[in-house]
Amino acid sequence: MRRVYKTAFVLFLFCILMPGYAENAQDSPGFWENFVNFFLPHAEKRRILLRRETRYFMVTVEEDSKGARHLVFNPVKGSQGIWNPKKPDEIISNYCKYMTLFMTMIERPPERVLFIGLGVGILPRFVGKRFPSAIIDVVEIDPDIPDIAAKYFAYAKTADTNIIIRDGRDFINRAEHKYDLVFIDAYNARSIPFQLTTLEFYRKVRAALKPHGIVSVNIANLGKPRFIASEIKTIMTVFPQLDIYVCPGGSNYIPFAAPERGIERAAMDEKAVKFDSERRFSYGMKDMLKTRMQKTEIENMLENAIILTDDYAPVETMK
Amino acid sequence: MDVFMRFLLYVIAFISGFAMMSYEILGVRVLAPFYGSSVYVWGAAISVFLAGLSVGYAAGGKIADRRADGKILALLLAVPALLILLFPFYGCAFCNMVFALGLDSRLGALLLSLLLFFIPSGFIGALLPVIAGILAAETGKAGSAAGNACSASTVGSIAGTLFTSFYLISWTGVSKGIVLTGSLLGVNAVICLVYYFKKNAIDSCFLDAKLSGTERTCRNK
Repeated sequence: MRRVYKTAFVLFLFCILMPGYAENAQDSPGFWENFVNFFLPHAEKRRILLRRETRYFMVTVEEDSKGARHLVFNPVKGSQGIWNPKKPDEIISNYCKYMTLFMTMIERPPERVLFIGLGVGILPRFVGKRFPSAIIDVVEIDPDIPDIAAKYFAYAKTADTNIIIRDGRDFINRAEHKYDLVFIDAYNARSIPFQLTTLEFYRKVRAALKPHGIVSVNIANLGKPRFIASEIKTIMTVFPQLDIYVCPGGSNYIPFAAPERGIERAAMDEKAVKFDSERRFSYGMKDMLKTRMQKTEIENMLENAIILTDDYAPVETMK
Repeated sequence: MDVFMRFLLYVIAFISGFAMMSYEILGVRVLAPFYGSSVYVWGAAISVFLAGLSVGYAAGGKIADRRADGKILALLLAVPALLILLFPFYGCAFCNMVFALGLDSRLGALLLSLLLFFIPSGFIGALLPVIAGILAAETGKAGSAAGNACSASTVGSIAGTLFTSFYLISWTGVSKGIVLTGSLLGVNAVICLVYYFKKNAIDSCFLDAKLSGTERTCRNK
């Protein structure tokens, strides 16, 4: 009988201790991870630097052949963020470059900036560097992501940056301040969480904007054209003055919305030309501004679109 | 007990499980615009449903010991059916009320879940012991009665989860989906009444046969 108790006790200890041990062991990829990685359907073979199961995602940090690091939630859907340690100030993802177009639209330095969704911190880093005195609020639902961004993507927040671990909709529901700039780029492994796509959500975003504030959203093309069109229609219902820029290959749609148009388009072009001639950024802004969608283009796109509401926003199944 | 009557009982269990999971998935989608879809909101909603079930199971067991028949089932179903059917009238009000309290998202989600989900899931939970009780009384085998009733209910839960998340949300949206769930429970209550009257007919037929001393088949009248 005593042997039974002893075995039971040993098994009990094993069950209690193993999860803790396993959690530490799984950060660094071992033989099995590299073996599995060999067979994973990647476009290019990448070296896995980290594989961690967070509360929300199965996250991998992968290094491609050029040395750039990718944050991946879902191997089929591509990277959430890309950063190369050899060129730390360079922006690699196209959609991030397009979101920096706000530089042509602002007249004075922003005092308060909001990011919904951290990713690897490319844009917060960009804003923090150029406007060191701005107060930056970064809202991220997954507590592991800021940690991964700091460790693997060298995201160092400025002194005035607050990283708030909360659902983006929960944050905006009780937003205490008004912002000059709002960047919305929140994705789970499959899509944008539905409560961040709806009419009611964007009404709250508008309420959290200063009069000359600007909102920018990253609408990734995940092969669901009706969703993209519906999301744009929803945003347009709240912000009728919408400028939509299209990334190369239609990979992302980046609308810029403002409750009151601050800068005229001509002034934007002027600024872009100035930035380009000063080589302020390693990419040309003038050409990016040219991808702005025409009114007829937008009308065509919105033909089949619906307005997404809290009651009806089937984002996971929409085509 | 003849096959058809037993089948009816399993259908009642199946639909109860279906409706409960459907309400749970739609319910979390009701919570999301207020408190997000973080792991805390899901945890709050799931634990409230489980709490309702646990209380319901215990209460249902006591009810089943006293009376286990189709009428009780119908009565037990009437409450959640009505509550869920009328959700569009009080759902928003409760959400706004709790949100206005300004609680932390974990507490707020928990409180709101309690208000919206506890009572309906309690009543749906109470069904299971009553169904098991009816089956056990008929077959004399308590173990398989409980097992089969739970199994039917859980298969219904699987169907409800998949159907709601894959199809219902994209077909009708949240509030219409909840109303449909309520009407499904109402239909289930009607099925319980059908079972009750059929059972009465069969039982009285058997009673007549016994009293008059004749041999009779009393099935499917």
